[in-house]
Amino acid sequence: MKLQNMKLARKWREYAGPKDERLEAENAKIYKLGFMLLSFGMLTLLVYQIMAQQVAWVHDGANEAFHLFANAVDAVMYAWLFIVMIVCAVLQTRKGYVDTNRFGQTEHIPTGYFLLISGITGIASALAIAAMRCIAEAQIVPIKSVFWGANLATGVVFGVTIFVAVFGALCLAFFEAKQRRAKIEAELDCPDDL
Amino acid sequence: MPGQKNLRMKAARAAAGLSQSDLAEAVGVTRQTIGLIEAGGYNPTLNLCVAICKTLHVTLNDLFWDEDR
Repeated sequence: MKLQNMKLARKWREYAGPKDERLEAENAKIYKLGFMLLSFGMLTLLVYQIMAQQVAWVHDGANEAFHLFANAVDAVMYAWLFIVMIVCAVLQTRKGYVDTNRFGQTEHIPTGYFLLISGITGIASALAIAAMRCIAEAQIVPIKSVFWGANLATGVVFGVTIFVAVFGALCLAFFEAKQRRAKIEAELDCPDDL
Repeated sequence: MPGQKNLRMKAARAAAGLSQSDLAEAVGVTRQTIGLIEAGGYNPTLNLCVAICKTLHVTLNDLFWDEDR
């Protein structure tokens, strides 16, 4: 079954409205840049990690030092991922939008839509985190020793945190985008316009 | 703006008594997109051109065909 024909997808399209083709094109450019930045960063870190491993191997007894490298590489990788996400979000707001559907350039903050997006993200994150913890735990201890409840509780705590963070980020992006949009529209407006 | 201004579209919109916001809502895009098309800053797809022409009751030639280019 095609995704477009699925009932849930159809209902979502009806709710979110048509996508603006220009914003979709702008989005594609921004995500292309994000993909290139992310790929370049990850590849650089991967090569660096391989080089560090080889150097540690050449110098006998330097294996402990390599583990120090590995931690730093992990930290830089997470930081780079976060930076790329911020770059994409900033570029979107500088173009004056937060989404490509009918909520992307509204005059008033679309609280319901933002709560829905944050809620879906929070619930999906809570379930994914709980599931990943359970799967990881089941690989190191017998099934009966897995802390199902504790993992679910951890997932819920992270889910709530992510919900609040996403909602805050969307609100911040909305106000930034609105300011930028006002500037862009002022440049487009002509005195003889209707 | 990188492209040529589309003054014919602006005139047709004005003749139809529509604001940029009205036209944008009718064709399912943002007001900024209509503003950018008129200002020559965005080349719309054929689908959007057709939707604009139908809303303004004009033909594609009327708005988007340029003999000089």
